[in-house]
Amino acid sequence: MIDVLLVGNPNAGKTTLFNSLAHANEHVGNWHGVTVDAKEKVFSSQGEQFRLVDTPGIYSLSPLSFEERVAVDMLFQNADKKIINICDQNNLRRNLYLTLCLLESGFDVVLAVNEIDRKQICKVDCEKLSALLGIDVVKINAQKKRGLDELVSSLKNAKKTPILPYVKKINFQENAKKTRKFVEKNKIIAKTETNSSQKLPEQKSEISHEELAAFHEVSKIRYAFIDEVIRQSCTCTGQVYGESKFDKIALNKWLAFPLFLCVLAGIFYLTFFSLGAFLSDMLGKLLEVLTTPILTALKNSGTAAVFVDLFEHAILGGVGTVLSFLPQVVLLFFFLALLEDSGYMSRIAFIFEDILGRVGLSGKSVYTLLMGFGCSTSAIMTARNMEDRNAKIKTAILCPYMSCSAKIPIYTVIGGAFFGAKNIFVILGLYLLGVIVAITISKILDVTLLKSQKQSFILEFPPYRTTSMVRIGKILWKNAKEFLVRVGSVMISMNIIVWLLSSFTFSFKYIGGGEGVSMLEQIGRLLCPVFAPLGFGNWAIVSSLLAGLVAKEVVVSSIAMFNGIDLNATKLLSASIMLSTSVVFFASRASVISFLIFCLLYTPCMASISMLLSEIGRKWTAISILIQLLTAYVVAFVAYNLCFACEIFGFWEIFLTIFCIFAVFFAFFVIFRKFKRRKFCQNCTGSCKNCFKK
Amino acid sequence: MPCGAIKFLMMTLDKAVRGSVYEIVGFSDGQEAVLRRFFELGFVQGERVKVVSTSLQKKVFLVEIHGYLLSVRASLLSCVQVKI
Repeated sequence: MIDVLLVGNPNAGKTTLFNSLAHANEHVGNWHGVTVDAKEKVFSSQGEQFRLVDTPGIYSLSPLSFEERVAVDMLFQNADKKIINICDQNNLRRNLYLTLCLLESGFDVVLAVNEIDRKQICKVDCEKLSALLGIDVVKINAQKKRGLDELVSSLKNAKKTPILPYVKKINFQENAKKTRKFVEKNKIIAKTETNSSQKLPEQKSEISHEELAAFHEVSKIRYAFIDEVIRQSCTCTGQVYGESKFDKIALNKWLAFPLFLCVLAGIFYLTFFSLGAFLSDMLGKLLEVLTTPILTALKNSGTAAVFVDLFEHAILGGVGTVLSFLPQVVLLFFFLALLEDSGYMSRIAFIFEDILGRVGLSGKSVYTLLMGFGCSTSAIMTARNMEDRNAKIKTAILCPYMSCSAKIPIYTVIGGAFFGAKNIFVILGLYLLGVIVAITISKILDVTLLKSQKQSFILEFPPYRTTSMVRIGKILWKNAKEFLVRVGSVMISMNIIVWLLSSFTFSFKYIGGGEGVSMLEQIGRLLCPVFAPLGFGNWAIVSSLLAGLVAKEVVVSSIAMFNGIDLNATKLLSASIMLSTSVVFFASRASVISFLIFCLLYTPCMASISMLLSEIGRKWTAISILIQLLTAYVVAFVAYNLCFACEIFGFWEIFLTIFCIFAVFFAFFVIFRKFKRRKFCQNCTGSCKNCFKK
Repeated sequence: MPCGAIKFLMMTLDKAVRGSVYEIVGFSDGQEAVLRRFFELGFVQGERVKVVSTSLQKKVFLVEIHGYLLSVRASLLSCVQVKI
């Protein structure tokens, strides 16, 4: 078996080549850093077996981020293996830098020049390039699977790595000794490297000024050699890689944000309202047609009521909830794949970087956060593309604060019942509150637990590209399967647990809508005092919040169920009217506001929690849940008391009181800051200007 | 050439004007890892670099170097010394 490592710059097409060669279906995208971990697959070609390893993109052998370290460590641990170095034909000058690093280190390299774009900025003469570099050069098209046979043949008969002429030339440079030693050391250790604790100069995290100067000199010489190679073997048009006329709009300071909002609004509308809602509806009807005969047959066969109830409400209900999300998830990933392949994601990251950087997030967070308004579960999944681990965790934690579409029924039904036409302002206020809380938490996390590593924001701009429908189909199939297996299994099991809790007493007696106190009701009654300070210390409300842990849509149906309303038989408006009669549940408007805020901020659904677990791990999921519960409780408590005070004393009186309190605090803060800054220098009484510098 | 003129011509890349082309003349002290990355990306002495665009608050720069586009945080570019 021949072991082969796939190495190249970010966005050069490594994973596309990996998928084409090994018939795999790994995630690819037209932007930097899609692959974050090494992937391995065995395949056969031309009577030979190959073990192909796809590595994250690197620019050289000096890793800067975690995934680059994975790739470089893997390279040096497999120094005797064959390497396919894939280069983007249109960005050959920058891509060849890594090729030179690999050749200097003595790796057995085959160069694959990938024709990604139809438009050729640079035409490469592979034979001349091969002669100049002394290695096999094969022109391929990874996506269209062109030139793969030649690539495999070259792998089988790879030439011995030559010593490049410019390495000898380094002797004549001003700091020849240092640089020569630097390159030589690189070369020798690369061949003998077995212990990862022994670091190459290029791998060291800290290097001296002399080494840095040598590094610059080597880079300069490498680029001079690349220029010569390109001059002799390529015909370039002089066009800039990644440049597009559309960027005049996409990056314009007045048009960039409206354009992005339009794109996002379009995705939102199609995913959650028009097309998504239609597909969900169709799927629901199909499920009903398929399950009604089974349910009728089950009821007629004389099966015990408890099993019919379990099948109807727990299993079918769970499957129904999962399937109702499926069209939205599929559509969301369809648009995400289109955006990823188009190259627009890098532009989004660019325009939002300076705004989100202030609260410790990355420009890349914006897409994930805005998708959170649709579905937190799928939005959390999109955070995995981020380079900065802390920013990724922060973004995933903040996703549930973006009010997801599942919470809309709570706002419309319960808010509508108590606020009527003014409910639109309540809903807008809730969306805004979610964003404000998310920004505040991000800032707090940034100065405490999750400081952002801002150094990583060096992002390459890829050219705009179209995508193939086959690829999109593969992405959708993969994500839908992952959603159904990973998220669906958790949701259905939680649905069964909630059904058990609401249908049985603690003595395990089935009540099934009859008389008796269910476990859920008892737990709700037990937790009532905890929620009393928030204005809704009522067992029915508390039980609905517990049920809402499965999915937020369950909150409304639970309240309706406890109020004796069958929501399946009524429309939302009439449900609102009926719910408005349930004044026993909400004592005042203040308690309704408090309840809505709690619903907005408390722990998201089980699907989101299971997604958080898989994306950020147990520790951060636990911290995230704790933060969510605390925030929801504190904000709901403050809101309830403020609204309650407004109801008693009047809005303007309370507003003015709060304004005065804030003004006093601000005045104290300014005075305190001024005194703190006042440091006198030696032999001075504070009259000179220097005293105020620190 | 008077000192004032030299000061006017030499600057760090984060102070560069949009649309102008500059020549890299050196590097001041900065994070070593970032400097290494700049060298690898083609920011070497004598190379020409063009500021194509800046973000709203000018905290991120879009620069053209070696025939490709790169967006970099302005604070990182402060260690790259350029002249017109």
